[in-house]
Amino acid sequence: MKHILVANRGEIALRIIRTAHRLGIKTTLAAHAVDLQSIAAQTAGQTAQIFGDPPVSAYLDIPQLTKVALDYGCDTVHPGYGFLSENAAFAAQVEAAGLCWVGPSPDVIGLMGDKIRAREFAHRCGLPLVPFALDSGHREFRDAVLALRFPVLIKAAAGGGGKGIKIVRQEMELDRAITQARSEALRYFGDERVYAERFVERPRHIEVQILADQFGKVIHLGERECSIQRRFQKIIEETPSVAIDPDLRSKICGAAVALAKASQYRNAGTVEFILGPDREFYFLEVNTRLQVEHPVTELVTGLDLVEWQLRIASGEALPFEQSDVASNGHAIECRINAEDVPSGFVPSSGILARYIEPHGEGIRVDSGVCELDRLTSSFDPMLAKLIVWGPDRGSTIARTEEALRNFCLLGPETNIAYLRALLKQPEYVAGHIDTGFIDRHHEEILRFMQVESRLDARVTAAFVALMIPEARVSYSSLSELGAWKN
Amino acid sequence: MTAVLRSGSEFLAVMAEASGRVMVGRSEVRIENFSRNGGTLAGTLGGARWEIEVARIGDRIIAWSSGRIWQAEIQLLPVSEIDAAGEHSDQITAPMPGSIVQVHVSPSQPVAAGDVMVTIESMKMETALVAIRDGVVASVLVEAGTTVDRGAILVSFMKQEEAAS
Repeated sequence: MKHILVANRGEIALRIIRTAHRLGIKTTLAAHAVDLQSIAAQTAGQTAQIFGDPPVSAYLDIPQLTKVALDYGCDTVHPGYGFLSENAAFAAQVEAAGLCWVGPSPDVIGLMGDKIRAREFAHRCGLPLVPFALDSGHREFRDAVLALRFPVLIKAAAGGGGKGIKIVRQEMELDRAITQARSEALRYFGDERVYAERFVERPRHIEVQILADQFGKVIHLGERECSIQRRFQKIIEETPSVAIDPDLRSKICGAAVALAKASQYRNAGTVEFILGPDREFYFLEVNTRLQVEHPVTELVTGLDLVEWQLRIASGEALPFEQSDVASNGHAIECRINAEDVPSGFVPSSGILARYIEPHGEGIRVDSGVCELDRLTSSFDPMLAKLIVWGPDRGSTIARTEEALRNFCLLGPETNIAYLRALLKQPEYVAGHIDTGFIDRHHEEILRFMQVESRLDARVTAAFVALMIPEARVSYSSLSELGAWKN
Repeated sequence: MTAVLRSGSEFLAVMAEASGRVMVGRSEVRIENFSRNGGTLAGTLGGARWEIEVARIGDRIIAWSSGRIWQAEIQLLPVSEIDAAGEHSDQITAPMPGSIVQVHVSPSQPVAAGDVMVTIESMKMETALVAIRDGVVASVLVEAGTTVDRGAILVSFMKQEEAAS
């Protein structure tokens, strides 16, 4: 492996480029015109312009990306996360072109990408599943859903990223939810098949990071808890989970490893589970790529996951054993999004007028933006990830809160103040979290945030007055103004 | 011209001198050792050290300090018109034809020089009308939504002897 095409953008493109360069591997970044000035483009060995309107279509264009990889002399393609990272056709096209694909084989991507087939496979491997019903024609499906008992979730068969999921609490909502889920599934994934599963109340989202080489060795790197979600999308992730003791860890991680072995999995991957309040866990899905939240695992294990992705893809065997993997301390990731939280997490755009990252012990920021970048609504609203390490959960929360306080990001609206307020909620601090946490505490967090985050107006106005030419007056006229006072 | 910083429904008229002496609304603020390095403003106020990051996007000002944020729009005010209205009479009159956006005072309310009394919109631009001296409001003759001609009386002050009694 000598030269990678990075078929992605933003923070993850930069993340991959940095590790590749450290390993002495050349990089070419595929970049649409709107990204040619990005920090990833400036850091890459070279950029290959890709075309598409809207811009996102360029990053989804399989023939164009494959051609760019060949034209620029790359021998490997790293897809990052999102976009084509879990697209079996892209992986197959890359391999057919004689290039190395950083990820599992196209067959495994195809298997795990079809949520219905993946569940059947997991079930055969002995992994527990939440009771579910497959879409087998409307009347039969409806009866099967009713037999599951409410509440149920309706999900897209080809789904992921929280898109196309509907929660149904009573029969009268069911027909509409099925229709909506089908239409969203068709729009997002080009496949209208859906399925239903019983909604486990107060579930935690737990996932297991695995690494697998092409010789059949599979190692897990422990769990991540990603229960803090808004609209089924994660915003805070951490490791280890407070809900998991060594016994449960060995069971849940063992299940993930068994599934990876049975599917002849290769490269990095994540097996997602839900964990009920009764400590029962159920298989959810497999993500056949690097996850957004992979850095928390890196901070506690000391491993660079992109490095291991590249080593495995180039044919190396994993040189360490499960017992060599140790987890040290605690890590939390916060996703910093350009969004207006009080208006309902609406994406915000505009110019990034000031951008100052926090620094300090245990603090890492993975970001693809810099000051004066123009943020468009063409892509995901995530601007940066703040990842913080501490010796234990309490100190890590405190460090994260302080790092958020020192994160200056002016121009678009962001969720920074919201994240700070969330981290101070007693229930979060106590570790009493599940995927419904934000729904339950949203109003409280907003109130806290609005009181906490307001800078003293009169003091600030005084400083601002000294800076803006429009407010400047000569000494004499200010003296006259002095006479205003009693 | 005077700068008015508008943050939500709050208006602050500001005038500053390079020495660090600033009028914010009715009160004088003295910032010692003011310095500016790009978008970083620093200074001491009442013994406390302040460091503020500031971004200006057109007429929008965003200030940040240790996780706290304040945003405002900069509006410019034609001072001469206000002088004519306030300094030499006991009334505030409309400096231009327009529509009243908001009335910030009510009868018998004491006001201080620098307080914003009325906001008026004309040609899609809002202007804040600021009291030029201390006084007590006698009557308010308009309300939000009223359309006024240039010179229309908006707010009248009590005569100084009335206010004192």
